[in-house]
Amino acid sequence: MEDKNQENIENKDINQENKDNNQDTTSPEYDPNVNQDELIMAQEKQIAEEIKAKTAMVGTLESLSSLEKEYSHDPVYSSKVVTLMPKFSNVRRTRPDGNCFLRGFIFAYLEYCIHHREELSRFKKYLEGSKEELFEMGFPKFTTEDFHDMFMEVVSDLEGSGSVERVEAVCNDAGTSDYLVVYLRLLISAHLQKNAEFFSCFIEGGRTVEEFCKQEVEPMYRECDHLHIVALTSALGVGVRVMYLDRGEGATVLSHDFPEDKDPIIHLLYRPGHYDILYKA
Amino acid sequence: MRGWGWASGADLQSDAGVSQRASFLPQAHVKFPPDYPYSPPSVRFLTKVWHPNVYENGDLCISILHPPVDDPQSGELPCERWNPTQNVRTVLLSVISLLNEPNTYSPANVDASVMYRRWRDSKGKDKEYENIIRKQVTSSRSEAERDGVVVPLTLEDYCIKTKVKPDTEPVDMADFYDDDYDIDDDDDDDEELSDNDIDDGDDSGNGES
Repeated sequence: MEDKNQENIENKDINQENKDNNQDTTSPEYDPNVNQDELIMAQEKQIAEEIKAKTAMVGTLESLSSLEKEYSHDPVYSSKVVTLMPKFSNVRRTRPDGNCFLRGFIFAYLEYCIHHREELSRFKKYLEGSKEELFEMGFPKFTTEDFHDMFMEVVSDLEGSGSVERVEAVCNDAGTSDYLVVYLRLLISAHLQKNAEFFSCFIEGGRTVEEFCKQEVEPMYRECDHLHIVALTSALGVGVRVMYLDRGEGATVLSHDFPEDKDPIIHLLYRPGHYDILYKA
Repeated sequence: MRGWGWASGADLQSDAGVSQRASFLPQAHVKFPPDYPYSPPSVRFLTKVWHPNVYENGDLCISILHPPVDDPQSGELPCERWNPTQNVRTVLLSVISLLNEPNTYSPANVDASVMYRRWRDSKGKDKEYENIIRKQVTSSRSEAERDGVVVPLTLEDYCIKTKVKPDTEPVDMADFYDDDYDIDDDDDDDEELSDNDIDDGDDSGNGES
């Protein structure tokens, strides 16, 4: 027990050093009266603010050639972008804040829905039913309902006056857009936990599905991984194709469909750690 | 948001020996960040609290108050992180539960942790920890009384009767709106924590953020 404490203290000291290193030269001395964790969090927040100021949550429609330009000095990536060009014409960038997959997904899906009204109705029906399901899973009723109601409002609004501009506005309005992201996270968590037996085989680190959800799914800004995507696409019954732009050899761009048996209606571009929206040529 | 709260089932450490029913009424600051509810509020005791999981400065070490992104505190994963469906009620319940059940595995106050373990392992024979807690409880009470708080003494005082609605979640609807929008609530939202006790009325609302 004593040792354990000792260890903790030592670990903290090591962390402390790391923190100080990160904090450049303005505050080289460790001041025990200053909460170092708060300093780090403040710095992280500042970085997040910078990203926020620079990038829209969902950007404007860009030609795929903008990607080509971005990688003009990178032979691996540029050859892969060239491979993508005949198949995809445009890209829409999302803010890299840990919510990029969800933000990209919901934008692309709502945009699809305004052109396919029957899908919008189907989605609305799904959403209506999802609320009770989340309550049954034990999510706090009051707050969960709040997120649900906002989602319903957005969908109903699009039913009436759906346009791409409207979807752009909704997904870039911080209050609304983040509410949609939160609700998608709850849906993913519910789906994973409902199928815990299956998904438990894919969770690393000896965690249970529930722990995974509480640590990696429900909290805001946690990045979406394979499991999140599998869960969301199967829960909603919406096909997504992800094109993987990575350092792998050759000019081929690997792709993967989620869920595997579904024709994709949404295309996303993956670059390590980030998802953007792709548009078919 | 500043307010008085109480922490006591039977006691601060009910499981082992400080058995006399004693209300601990610490005063605490709950601070809401601009991006609440995506990030958690912070809770800081204004009352001096000697407890393995409370830092010298009054900060608390509670897993659901961990920010959603990787926190710098340690390499270990908190068992549960803040998620946006958490609310003031769930936070306060966690605070109470932490006060009742110190976690000595990742102490915020090592001295308190060592002393607590000594008390626990000696089955209460080592009274150092107990004495500090008693003093703390007494002084918190007199402070609260000075501030006009009616100190609950019996189980009935603590557990304000709730008209049980069938099939309701144990969620206090009031706290979200009360704290964020300062709207008076008029329904029976009184659970274990009544408004009077977590909030002294004058400074409710989200003034801190």
